[in-house]
Amino acid sequence: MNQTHFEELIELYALDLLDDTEKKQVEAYLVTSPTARAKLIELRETAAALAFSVTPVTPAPNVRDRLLQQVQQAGTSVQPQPRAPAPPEAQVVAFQRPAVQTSNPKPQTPGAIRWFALAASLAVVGLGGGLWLTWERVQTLQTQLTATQSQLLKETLELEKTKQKADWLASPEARNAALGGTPVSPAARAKLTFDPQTGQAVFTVQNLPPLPSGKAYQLWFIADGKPIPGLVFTIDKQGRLEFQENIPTQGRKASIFAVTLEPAGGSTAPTGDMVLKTPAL
Amino acid sequence: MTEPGNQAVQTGGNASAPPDRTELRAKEQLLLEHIRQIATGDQAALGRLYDATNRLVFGLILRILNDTGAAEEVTLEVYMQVWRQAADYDIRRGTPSAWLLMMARSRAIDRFRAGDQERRRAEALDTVTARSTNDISPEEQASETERRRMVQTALAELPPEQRQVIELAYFGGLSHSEISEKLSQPLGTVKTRIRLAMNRLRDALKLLDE
Repeated sequence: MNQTHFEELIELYALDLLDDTEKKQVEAYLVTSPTARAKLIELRETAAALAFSVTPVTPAPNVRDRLLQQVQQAGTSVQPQPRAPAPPEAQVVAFQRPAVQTSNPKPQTPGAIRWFALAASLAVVGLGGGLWLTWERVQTLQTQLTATQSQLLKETLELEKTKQKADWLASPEARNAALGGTPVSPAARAKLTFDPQTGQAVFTVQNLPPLPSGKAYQLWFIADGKPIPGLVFTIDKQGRLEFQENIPTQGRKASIFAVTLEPAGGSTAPTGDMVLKTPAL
Repeated sequence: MTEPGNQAVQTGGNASAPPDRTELRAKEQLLLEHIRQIATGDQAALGRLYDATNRLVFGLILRILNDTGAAEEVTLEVYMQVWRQAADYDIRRGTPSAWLLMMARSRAIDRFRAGDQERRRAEALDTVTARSTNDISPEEQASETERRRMVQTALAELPPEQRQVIELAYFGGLSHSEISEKLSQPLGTVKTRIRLAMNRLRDALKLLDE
């Protein structure tokens, strides 16, 4: 097979569509071609960007709790090891490399010279190893320092955000809307509090019926008789969820809010049963 | 409010500004920091990465599996994989979001192939075709939304036969041979369509990364 053939497979490789044999052939070709490697990186970014075409959906809040619980339970057994960054010469290539030739025949050296060479090599290896360990330690400390600084900054920002949230929730400008259930969800209740200036909002729901497979709930803002799509969300086992939303400009004028049952990816206009609504609707 | 959704919300077309590159870079930089902290064993950093990305990751996985329970399981698996492999992440091989999203897609497709969800796949593909042209809302202002709009526009502007193979491959997890069989088209034609589509998308989306 020739170069053109492999180049024509790169797009398929980037999408993970090739079988194992073809994949290995392309990987072997990638090792030999920096241009092909650069193209692959671009195509991988393109493939990843396609994920942005999908409407983001908030998973049930217990997924985060379960994740952190699993990480804690896994403890040190799977805890990642701090690793020094790869030296620059390592470069991009994490694809399969051809086997390195290590068996080149070398001329025999006389005994004394050989011992000297061995001792010198050990000294160099020892010195190099020591330097490497020191460098690695410095890198680890630097990473930890950056992490601590970064965490401090984040926590300060989070505190500031919490304070701001408390301020606007309590401000006289904040608008509140209470949503009640419908015949298909008589026990459901929800509260929407939002700032009409910024669109910042907090939405709390409870007692929503469990979701059928492949479905999600979606919030709607109804302004001038037109429904404007809001966040698509799922709920926990108790039918609850609290989330923060940023209401689009047109939606901030709305005086009517509703939640409907929609396909898992959400809809551009309501299609399913209404499960929550403001009394005016 | 139960009528079919054919009266889609007014679309914004291409009128709005492209996503702010500086902001996108700053977001990637923040994700990179989280990944580096996770690599040192920082559990809180994993929480922060999750908070910053879960809606996108879960949305993608749900789009592929169309099953909330399975999508939650796979989402958990993805972030556990991030926890284990953060130290292996190398920015020279791609941006943090590309690393995370390709991992999510790959895991979702593995789960999809392992399960019997043919019917759901058909439903999902119908949905994506509709979304790629309709789900654009001018009211939404966040840069992530602008990015979504750009990608949706780039997909919508592909010739239909190219968009179809990309959607089958990307969200349906079908190999090129399976697509060829499903569409009753020669394998070479399918390969060419995928190549043309990917290169066209690459050119259309390149300005996000320049």
